[in-house]
Amino acid sequence: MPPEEATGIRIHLDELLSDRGMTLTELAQRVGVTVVNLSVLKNGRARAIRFSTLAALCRELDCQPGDLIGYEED
Amino acid sequence: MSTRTRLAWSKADDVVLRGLLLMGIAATSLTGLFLLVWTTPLLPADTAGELTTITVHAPAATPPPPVDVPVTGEDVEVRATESLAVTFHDPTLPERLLLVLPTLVGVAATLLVLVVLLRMARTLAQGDPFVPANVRRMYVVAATVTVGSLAVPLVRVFTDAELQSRALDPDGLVLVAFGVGVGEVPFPLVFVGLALVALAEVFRRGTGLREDVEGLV
Repeated sequence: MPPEEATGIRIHLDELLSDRGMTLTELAQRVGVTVVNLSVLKNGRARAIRFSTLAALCRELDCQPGDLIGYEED
Repeated sequence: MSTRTRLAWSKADDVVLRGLLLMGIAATSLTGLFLLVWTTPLLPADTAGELTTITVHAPAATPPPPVDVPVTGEDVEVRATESLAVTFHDPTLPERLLLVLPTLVGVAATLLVLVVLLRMARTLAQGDPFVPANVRRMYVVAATVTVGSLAVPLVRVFTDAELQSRALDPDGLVLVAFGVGVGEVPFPLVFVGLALVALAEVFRRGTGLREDVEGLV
């Protein structure tokens, strides 16, 4: 995988999973994404996210895109 | 119901491709090694076969040799070409070098292309050919084929002219027109080289797209 870029984009998947008492594996099954890919997203190593993946995550976590993704200036 | 035939690259194809490239590299290396050794007096001159002969244009005043070939077709004329074959039976060290230099340039270019293609084939076998290193390799192959196809006839013109001046009396001959004739340039190979440049650009853009998709969730 190419080196990570400092984009300032933060993914709050850890907090959302913890709040809902859900595991990464369970979410991956519900969303239809591999655990590996979801782990890439959770650890901030993803470079892009499909709208379909984002919509499925929001649906299963019952949240808005803004709850999942944030921006912090470095 | 029609069945569609699909061509799919398999592991066996990988093995065959790399085997062929390795055999090509071995054969080309041996040829190059032989030519290098032949430039020294270790090997007799006649072991190089046709390499000891150069073909030069005959001076304008030279009458073409008579041709005695029965002609069956109507309106057909047969005449000898106006060129001279000069064979060096016992070439000196510099002459040996001049005789093999164009072939050596071709062998070096071929070897470089084969080695680079082998490296690319390895990445294909590993399942990931769209890497930046392969883009560079594609450009190296394209440049080598294009430049090599022009360089070999150019070097041959220089070496043949030098050999001719060593072998033939300049007073008795009007020295050959010095330049690369259009007929000597291997245009199909130049075209292949230019097509490879285009293919390298396609590869570069494909690798860029691959980088974009990498990390997409």
